[in-house]
Amino acid sequence: MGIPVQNPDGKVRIFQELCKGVEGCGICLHVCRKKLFKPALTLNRKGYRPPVIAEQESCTSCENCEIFCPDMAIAVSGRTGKRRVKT
Amino acid sequence: MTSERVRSGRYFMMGNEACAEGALAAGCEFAAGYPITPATEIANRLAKRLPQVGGAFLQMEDEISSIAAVIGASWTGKKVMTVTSGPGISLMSENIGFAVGVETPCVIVNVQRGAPTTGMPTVGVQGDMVQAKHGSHGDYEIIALCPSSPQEMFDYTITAFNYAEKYRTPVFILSDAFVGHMREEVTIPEAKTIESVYRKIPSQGTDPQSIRGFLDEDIAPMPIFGRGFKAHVTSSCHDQAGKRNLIDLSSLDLFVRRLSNKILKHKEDITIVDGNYAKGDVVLVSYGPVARSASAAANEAREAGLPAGTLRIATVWPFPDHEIEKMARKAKHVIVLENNLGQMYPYIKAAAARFTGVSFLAPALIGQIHDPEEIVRKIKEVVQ
Repeated sequence: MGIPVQNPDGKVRIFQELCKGVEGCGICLHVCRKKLFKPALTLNRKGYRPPVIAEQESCTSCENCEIFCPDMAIAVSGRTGKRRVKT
Repeated sequence: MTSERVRSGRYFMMGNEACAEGALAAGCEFAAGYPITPATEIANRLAKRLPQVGGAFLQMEDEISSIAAVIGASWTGKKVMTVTSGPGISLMSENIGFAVGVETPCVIVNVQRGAPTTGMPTVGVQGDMVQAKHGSHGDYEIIALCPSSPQEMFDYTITAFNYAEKYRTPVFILSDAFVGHMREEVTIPEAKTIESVYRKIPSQGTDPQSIRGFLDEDIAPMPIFGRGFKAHVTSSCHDQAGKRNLIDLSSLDLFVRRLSNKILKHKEDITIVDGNYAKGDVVLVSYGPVARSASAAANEAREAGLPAGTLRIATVWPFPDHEIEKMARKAKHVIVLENNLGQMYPYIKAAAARFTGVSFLAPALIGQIHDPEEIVRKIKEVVQ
């Protein structure tokens, strides 16, 4: 049994149960150059609000969110753009 | 968001936000910290709000410099605080001892999380209860308050500032991720109804060598920086004028005893407990969010015809042994409930076991608040 994931087949997978919430952390919202993350409407099992990703097709797979997430709660696949864009 | 210091009104607020608002209402002018889950929201709120009221928030490079900045700011006469979680307290421990030794008023908020080491940041565990008292080296007394709700995060932060200023000492708020992230109604009263204490300062022109600036059990006035006092502030053993003395054992004796007695002498004023028990009850002793479960369990037990009462210790340090004794003399049995493996249990047992039986109940899983039904089952077990 794996851990629950938003978008299992998408470019940006979010493991919402690992997230400690965009209200206290929110690094993903800050480092995404395309501003594709927004707070989810629902909370995870521990009561934290994970991000959701809108317009996945605009994602350049820069992987900033994956690199910066301190809880390893985001995984990006399908790299097409330039890696490790500095914010 | 309005920019006044005290935002009177009724709010639906997170415990951590209520803590930051409590600090502002108490007159906090400076805070420093390093972000850490589950305490970050307090720092975020202070970073936004302190500059609005003429104060400052500094994000430092780590927790060691955070507590150092706070101690320095306190010596300039400001009301100060820092916020962190267990790993941060571990780093701060040396300087917390320094603050105790040189009698520096400051508030330290520990929003506890799953530990040891980096543990599980998103879960509340009452794992740092004894660390607050014994984290730094040497004999010393500390004040620690344990809130159970967002409203108490607000109220006790004000109380913590008042105790820090009144007794010239670091004061801990021992919250945890549950209370810190809990959202509930919080009432912020009118500014004029909030009691605010400010430390005693010698009058301008006083020679610090001529007064007791340190080591007074009734709390010496603080010769703060920038007012013309030429006081020596040293963490090494010192006399009442702050002068270093590493020769006489009698000097060390005073250094140790007076610092501790400064808190112990005023224990009655510092102690906040909330007792709801009668003679012959099985009394549930708890603190923090577990007290909410204890109170629900006691109600359920009473409805089922079982003799149950509660005692919540809000002031955990100095340890309220008189209140525990008073309760134990009446109780049929004492059940200590903590969300840990029994940190306050030995202290409670030491005070209560002369008078009645004492047992301990941890939650089914550490990091989970007790299910009231588990507690009721335990009450039935001890009654039979």
